[in-house]
This record gives sequence, structure tokens and C-alpha cells, in this order.
Amino acid sequence: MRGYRLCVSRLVRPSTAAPGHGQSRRHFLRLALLGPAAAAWPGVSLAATERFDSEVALFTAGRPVRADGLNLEAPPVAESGYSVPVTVTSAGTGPDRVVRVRLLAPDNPLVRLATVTVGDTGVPLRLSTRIRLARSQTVVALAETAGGQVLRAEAAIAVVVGGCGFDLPLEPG
Amino acid sequence: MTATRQPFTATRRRVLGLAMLATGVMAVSARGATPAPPRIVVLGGGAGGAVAARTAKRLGGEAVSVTLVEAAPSYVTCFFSNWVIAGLRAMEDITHGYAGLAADGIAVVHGRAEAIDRDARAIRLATGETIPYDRLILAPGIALRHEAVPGYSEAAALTMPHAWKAGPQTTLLRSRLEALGPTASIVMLVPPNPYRCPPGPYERAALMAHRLKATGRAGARLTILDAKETFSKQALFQEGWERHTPGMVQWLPPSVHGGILSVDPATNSVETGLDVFSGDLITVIPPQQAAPIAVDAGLADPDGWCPVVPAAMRSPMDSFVHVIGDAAKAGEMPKSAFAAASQGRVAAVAVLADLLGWPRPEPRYFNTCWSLIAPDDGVKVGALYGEKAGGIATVKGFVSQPGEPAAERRRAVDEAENWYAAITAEMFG
Amino acid sequence: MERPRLRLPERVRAGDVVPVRALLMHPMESGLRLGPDGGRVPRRIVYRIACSFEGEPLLVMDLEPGIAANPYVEFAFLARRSGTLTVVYTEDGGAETAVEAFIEVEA
Repeated sequence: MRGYRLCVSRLVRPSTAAPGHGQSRRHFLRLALLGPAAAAWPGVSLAATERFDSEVALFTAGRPVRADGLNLEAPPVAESGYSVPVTVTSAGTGPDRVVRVRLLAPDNPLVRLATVTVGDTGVPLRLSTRIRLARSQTVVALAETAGGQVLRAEAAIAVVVGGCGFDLPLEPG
Repeated sequence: MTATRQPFTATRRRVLGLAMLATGVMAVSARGATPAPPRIVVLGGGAGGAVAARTAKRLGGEAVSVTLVEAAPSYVTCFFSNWVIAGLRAMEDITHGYAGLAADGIAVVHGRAEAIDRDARAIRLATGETIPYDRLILAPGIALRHEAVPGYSEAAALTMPHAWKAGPQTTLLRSRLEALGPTASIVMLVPPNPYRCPPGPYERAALMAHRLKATGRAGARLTILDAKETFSKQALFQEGWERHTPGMVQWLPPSVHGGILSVDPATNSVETGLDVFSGDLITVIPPQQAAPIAVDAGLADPDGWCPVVPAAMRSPMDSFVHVIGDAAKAGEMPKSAFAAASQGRVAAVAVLADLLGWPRPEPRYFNTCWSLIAPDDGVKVGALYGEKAGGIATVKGFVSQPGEPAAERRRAVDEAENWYAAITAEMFG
Repeated sequence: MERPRLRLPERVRAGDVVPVRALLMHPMESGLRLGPDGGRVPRRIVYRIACSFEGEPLLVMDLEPGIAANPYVEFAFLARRSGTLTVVYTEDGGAETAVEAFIEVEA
């Protein structure tokens, strides 16, 4: 029963930017606005921001991040977080060809959603899959090009009911 | 299927309306007029038709003659038929006779209506008999467009039941469900909007999964191939499926299954744009439209549904005809039993106003739908509707919230049961 | 595991973009869910989907529990020659299931 309640999300519009470096305060404020119920959700915590930041750092490895060249398409409102369609696209070819994509859900109990290594497909990137979202948030896609550049795209998704694949905050130790 | 109910405010309103109209009845009687009373004919004895007929007779009394034309000698309610499929109710529980209407002074004609002669203002029965009307309230329900799913047909429905019209199909789907093995696979096809009872397919999935699990068959799987990317009360259902029957119900939208291409009753399979889905049981809920009698009478739009003027569910094609229930395009109102009953009351009052010069109250439409997610877990959605910008639009509404306490969900089941008793009493006396 | 489902056009011309759509019905048990007894349901997910054409990797997806049940992937590649596209799914514990489709590329 307890777990069942934890997976419930309210329809809260996500902030337009995902938490990142220096955004802890905004994240904290959002928490305060959501009230005590939100504070009780284990995923929505400062620790989540840290997990997200470290995921980004791991992928970028100190390289600068470009906000153009990559697109993340997702529905602005998802009735249910059980299965939310997302599509990552990039027009880049040659050295701008995307060779690796990582999808992140900053406010999920497990921030990393998937990593895709793209071979020589001969066409610009267009990749669709379906993700679980525990609550409303801004999903982030990071991509690495053949030339070693890092691209970033975001999509804010308001989730009416969170994906109940997650009752518990984290995997054991 | 999903149940509906009238909010308390509507009841109070109706009492007021009754009191107001009763004055009119006395005035007519006092005049001592003796010409033959105007004839109201209601075609179709479902929730909309039965309630329209009884409302007209109850309010109009001897001042009108009310005839109900219905082919079936008894009526099996589509609402709550999912309960029967899951073994929570018996067919007898959802089968009702029309004796109560006859006792009210309504002439009940059990015959198949073949056509509406709008010029002569008469219904022609299959027997050749004609029934003239001064006002027709048309409540013919839906036609299943079997042919809209390639490979599907009325004959195929004996192998791949739809059970979307309650009766033998309900019994068939129930017996097929009972015969499934412990790891059976079920495939359910769900049509595009609009169709009768929007949450019905998902309630059915929940209750079929419940039945399988409760009878030691939790290894069975039900895959929903939907024609829609999202559906009514989606979050509530997905949460409920996972909670009560984890892993048993899978829902695939067309962006994943690639669209329904055809079904094959011989191999019990469904071909989609992605692949062939086979099952031990395939249930096909085909696309729908207004019943042929309404379409043939020229009362439907090219999309197959009957437009109505919001004020009184009157047909814009024929001012002597009101179309109510699932056949009508009632704006934002869903195709549900309660919506039909609500429209039936409005149409009856409007017809009495036409024929007897009675006052014409401002129409109010209501709907409330209950759905079972499990036998002890009910959810509901409801709304008040009014005329807005030439259509019928939601004025205010409510919907169950995810994560509600179990006691509240249990209470919703009780409400659904009480409602069923109330609406069938209103329909059949 | 269930039989994976894969759809791509049977016949294309060289230079066409070939859409690939792959679905596996799988619960993707996250390991973060409570069972009816209140205990944790153990994790069991498909953690890798590997798509290759004639042995050349086209796309390798490493999945986490945040991928929805019934993992679905859609992408495209350029038709250069006829050959077999293979999709291999690997589940926690190492079990594998694969699906293949031959595509004929006309010059």
C-alpha cells in the first residue's frame, strides 16, 4: 500500500530546465511548493539532483555542451507515466553524426534511462522508444558526435500519474 | 459495462419540473378537450428510449399517447455486462422485461422497425404495420461496423466475440474466458473514438484479468491493441491493472503495434503494421456508428452519427424527430447509459412542450460513469453539461484520483451497484 | 522470453531509408516495485537490445529499469545491399532471444 501511494504523481508542470549545476536552490523551491506530500517522495530530493549532475558529468567528461544540433520530442502532457513515447533526432552527418545517446530522467529514482550506441546507419539519427516517468519532470537527452562534441536537448513532460514500475526509491546499496 | 448515475441535484430539479408540469396537466384536463391525444413514439427500448417513454407518460399522462417500439422482448443491459463476463453477476441480473412500461400505460410494440417514413411521419415495421407519430424520439443505439476491421464479420464474431451488444455475445465471451488455460493469451482490439462506453474496454480488461487471476490463471496475458494513443481514465486503469493483476494486462497504442490491418478467425490472429498477434481468445470491439434505421432515414452525418440541436436533442434534419443516446452526436457527452437517460428526459420534456404547449425548461445534461478496476475497486467520472457555442459542452465535472484510499474505491463500487438498481428502476419500473 | 517482434519493409531500393521497428513483450521488472506481500519484486529487465546488419552493429541500446514495459525501439538505416537484420535481446541473468529479417535491396 505504501509503495502504491509513492508512485502517485500530481499534475505539476515541470520546470522548463532540468536541474543541473547551480540549480539546487530552484529544485528546493519547487519541492517547497509541492508541499509535504512531495517532500515525502523519496525520489524528489536533493540527492536526485546530485545523481543527475553526476550522470551529466560522467557523459560530458569535461567537454563543453552544445544546446543545438539535438532534438528531443515528447508529449507535453502524459496521462500516465507508465509508457511515455520519446524520440531523439539529429540532422548531423560526417563529424556531426551522433554516435552515442544517453537519456536521463532527473526526477526518476534511477536517473539513467538508456544509452544507445549508434553504428554506421548511413542516415541522420532518428530514434524512438518509450520510457517510464515517476513524476512530472524535464527529460534530458545527451549525445556525442563522431567529432567528439557533446549535444544536449530537453523536453518538459507533465505526468498525471507516475510510472508504477517504481515503488521504492533506489536499488539496494 | 460502465455504470452511470444522476447526481442528486438532477433529482431535485426533476421534482421541481414535475410539479411545474403537473399544473399544466390539470389545465389541459380542465378544458375537457376530447380529441385524440398527440402521439409520441419512442423507437428503441434502451436506457435513453425507456426513460424517454416513461418520462413522457409520467408527465403527460392521458394528454399524450406514448408508444415504445423495441424488437427484443426483454432487454439485456450493456452496462454491467462486464461484471457478467467476469462472473460477478449472472445474465438474469442484467435482463429486464418491459411489463412495467405497459403497466404505466405505454403501448409497447415488440416488432422490428424497418424504416422511418419522415414524410408520412410513421414507423414501418418488418410486419408491414405502420405506427404514425406526431413526435418521434429515436433511440436506436449503435451498429457495429464489422466490415471496418478487414476479416471481421458477424460470422467471425462467433469466433472472435465483441460482446459490445449485451446478450448471447456476453455469454459467449464469458464461456470463452472460462475455458482458457493457465497461461492463455488474449488479444483485445479497441476501436477509435467515438464508440459506446469509452472506458468499457479497459474495465473489461481489468475484470477479465481479475477473473483469470482469481481462478489460478495469473500466468495468462491480455494484450490490448488500441486504435488510440490515449484513452479514457488511462492513468486510473494502468495504475489499477498493475496493482491488482501485475503484468497481466499490456496496452499497445498504434504508434507501437503499427495499426490494425486485419483479423483472421481461422488462425485466431490479428495482423498489425508491426507483426501478427495470435491469441487463444481474440475479442474484437469494432468501430461503430448510429444504427442503420437512423442512417437510412437521412438523420445521420457522413460520419455515421446523428447530429442534434443541443437544446432538446432535436434533429436538425427533421424537427419532428429527436435523436438520443449512443446514436447521437451529443458534443462532449460520452456514449453512456446515463447520458442517454439524461437526454431521454430532456427530449421527453421538449416533446411535451411542443405538443401540449407546456413550459420549456432549460436543458441540463448529466453523466456519471463508474468503472470497476477490481470487484472492490471502483472509479468514477462525471460531469454536468450545457449548451455552449451551439454544442453540448462540459460545465463542470469530477473524476476519481489516482491513489485514493481503498475505502473510497470500495464505496464507489457500492455507488455503482446502487446506481444500477436506480437506473433500471427508472427504465423498467 | 516471448517471441520478439520486428517489422521492416521486405523490399526496398538501394539508397532508401529503411525503418526498423522492434518490440518485445517483457515486464521490465524494475527491481523497485513492491509485491503484494510487501516485499521487493526482484529486478528482471532486458538490459540490452543489439541490432546488426550482416554482423555490422547498427544500434546497441543499453536499457535501464526506466525503459517502459514491452521495450520498443524504432530507428532507420540506409539500404545499401541485401542482407539480414538481426535483433538480439539480452535479459538479466544472460538469457537471450533473437529475431531476424531478410531485406532485399534492389539496385
